[in-house]
Amino acid sequence: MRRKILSTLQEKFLAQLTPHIIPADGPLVPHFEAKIVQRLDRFLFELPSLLRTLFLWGMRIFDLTAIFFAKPHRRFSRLPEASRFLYIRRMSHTWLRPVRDWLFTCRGLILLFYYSQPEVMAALHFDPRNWAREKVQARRQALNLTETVETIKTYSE
Amino acid sequence: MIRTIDPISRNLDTSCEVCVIGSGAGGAVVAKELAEAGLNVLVLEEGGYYPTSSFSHDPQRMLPRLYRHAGGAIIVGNAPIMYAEGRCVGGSTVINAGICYRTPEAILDHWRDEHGLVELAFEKLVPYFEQVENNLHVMPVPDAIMGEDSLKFKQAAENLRYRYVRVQRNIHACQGTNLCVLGCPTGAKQSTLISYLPAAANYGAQVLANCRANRIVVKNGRAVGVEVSVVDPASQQIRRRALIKAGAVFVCGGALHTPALLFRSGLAKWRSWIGRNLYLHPNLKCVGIFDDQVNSWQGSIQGFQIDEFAEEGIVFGSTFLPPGILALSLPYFGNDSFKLMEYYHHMSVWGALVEDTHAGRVWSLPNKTSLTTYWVDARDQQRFLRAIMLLAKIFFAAGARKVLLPIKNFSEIDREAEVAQIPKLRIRASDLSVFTVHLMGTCRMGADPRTSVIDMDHRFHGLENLFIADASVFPTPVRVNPMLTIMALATRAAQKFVENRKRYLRVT
Ligand SMILES: Cc1cc2nc3c(=O)[nH]c(=O)nc-3n(C[C@H](O)[C@H](O)[C@H](O)COP(=O)(O)OP(=O)(O)OC[C@H]3O[C@@H](n4cnc5c(N)ncnc54)[C@H](O)[C@@H]3O)c2cc1C
Repeated sequence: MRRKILSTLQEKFLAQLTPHIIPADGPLVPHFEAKIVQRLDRFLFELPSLLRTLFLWGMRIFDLTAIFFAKPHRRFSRLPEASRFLYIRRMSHTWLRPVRDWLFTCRGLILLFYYSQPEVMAALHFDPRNWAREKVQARRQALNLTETVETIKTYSE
Repeated sequence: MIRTIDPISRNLDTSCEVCVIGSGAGGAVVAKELAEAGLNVLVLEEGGYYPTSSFSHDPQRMLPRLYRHAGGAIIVGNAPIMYAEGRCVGGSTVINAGICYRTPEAILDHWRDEHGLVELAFEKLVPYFEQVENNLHVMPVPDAIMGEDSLKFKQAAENLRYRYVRVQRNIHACQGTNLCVLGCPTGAKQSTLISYLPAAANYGAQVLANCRANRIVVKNGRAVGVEVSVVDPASQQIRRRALIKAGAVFVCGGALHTPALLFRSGLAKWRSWIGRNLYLHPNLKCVGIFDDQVNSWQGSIQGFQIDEFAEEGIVFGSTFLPPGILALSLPYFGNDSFKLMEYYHHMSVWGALVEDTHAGRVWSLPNKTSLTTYWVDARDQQRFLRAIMLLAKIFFAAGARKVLLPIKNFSEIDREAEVAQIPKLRIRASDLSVFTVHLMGTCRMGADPRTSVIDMDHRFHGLENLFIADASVFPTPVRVNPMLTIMALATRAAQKFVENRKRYLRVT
């Protein structure tokens, strides 16, 4: 089993940020906040330790700068919902580059996971699962293949 | 035969005639050529083994399996540059687009004149190109799998009277599934996973997956072995460490990891050029939105390239990004993001590949890790803007109604007249979204040992039996997609090794 990267507080923080990043008018993905926290944890686990540490520090700084830049002056995790959204909008254009870069990265990851959900892809008229299945079949037929392509033996064989 | 973590961690005391580090474009070719010549070859691959049947369309699943750092890797500098590279059996060839070009003659002439590489004249490399092209089924993309986005791209080139070429790819019965970057699920793309590595295995080579080379052990001017650790892919915990004894070592870890390994092996004191001379072929992508449906997931990932501006060091081509990856690269969130992404089936992503003139560097850090830095200089930045301008023009010539640009605060244009403003923009390098998948040149080849790392036979200057055969050996960027150059050079390196095997494998 791999170790977890995010603490419970960090998980909660990300779950609070997520609804403001994903489109409110977009397709609903059941339990997306829980899913995203798991996925982000996995992603952070794969990062080299320097980038991972920078990401976690970035999260902390983003949380704290809300005291100066949001109204009411509180940490992001303690802001009312409406103020959270305004704070995110503001920070996406801020001159504080580390905060902006962190928000941009985190936003990108959340959207990557959101738009990779089958229900969202379906709303975009994109159904890669069936598409790929059809194509695998088509190639097998074209080449009269019965099985997949590799001929490398693995040790267990 | 491929051995993955469990079997290896039980029994790893191995010795071999040649140890090949990395199983990508360079490593797999070397392994096959040497094994075919009857040598006892062992390939070490840090990444896991994922057969074609395990490939899925889902980036969340495939990125952590096939990509280093799950695709989230960054080069530090005045414009942080995202890069992607493979970390799996087959290396980056498993996730690449399979576009194959021979090295342009002008580049090889330059290597000869400036770097003394007289043996790499174009005519002398032709037999190696042909050999690789045959092994990989390199062929022009057939009409049957040309997608609508490729056809639009071609139409734009014709409207503008720009010179264009039909792309050559390493495909066999390709159905145009267009999931190349997540691992081809049909097995049509002839990555080394399904071409060179099975061939190497048939000749008796062994591939150890999840096995990372930590250090090359050098004694009395010879590489005598490789210290390795077996890494559990799920927990990333080291399961076992061992020393693999080898008569000769080929390092093929790619342009960032080959120098890092040489640093860890204490070889930087031998050659000061290790890690320098990093080129990236920076890639700038624009998104065009059309009135009619493009469905850019249907058809070959790229059908044509515009090479009208190749002499300036800029080429253009179409590509495909799954929705998650596309949304990640656009500067929107919330409902703004969805308003745009709703038109995903009307969108096409085209990119410019720029031949860079300013080199970056891989540095060794005290804790045995490495850091990669790259500064975009003013001249290259100007060319990036020119590339974006030309790309936007190509989109409008194809009938796009709106073009999304990779420039902060100037990210959308919907009139062709606005295109002319692009080169005049006063921006910083960090305002551009730059991406790369072509990392090259950190252990460059050259005739002069004072300014290069390896000689023309790919041998590390000063060591009898240590060789490098991957993207790191290029003295300069190659202006075209680099895989075929890497593979042709690796074929040549292996064949030179076989010719001189007695000398190189001499046991002292
Ligand atoms: C998304 C993408 C698309 C691309 N499209 C194209 C294209 O269409 N055409 C083209 O010509 N090129 C393309 N490229 C580039 C091309 O794939 C690479 O230039 C080429 O594969 C590099 O070959 P290499 O042998 O240097 O490294 P790689 O192919 O990356 O192989 C290096 C291998 O070494 C392993 N390794 C590294 N360090 C160690 C270690 N210490 N121990 C054990 N193993 C180690 C790595 O895990 C990796 O598997 C693309 C690349 C990407 C990422």
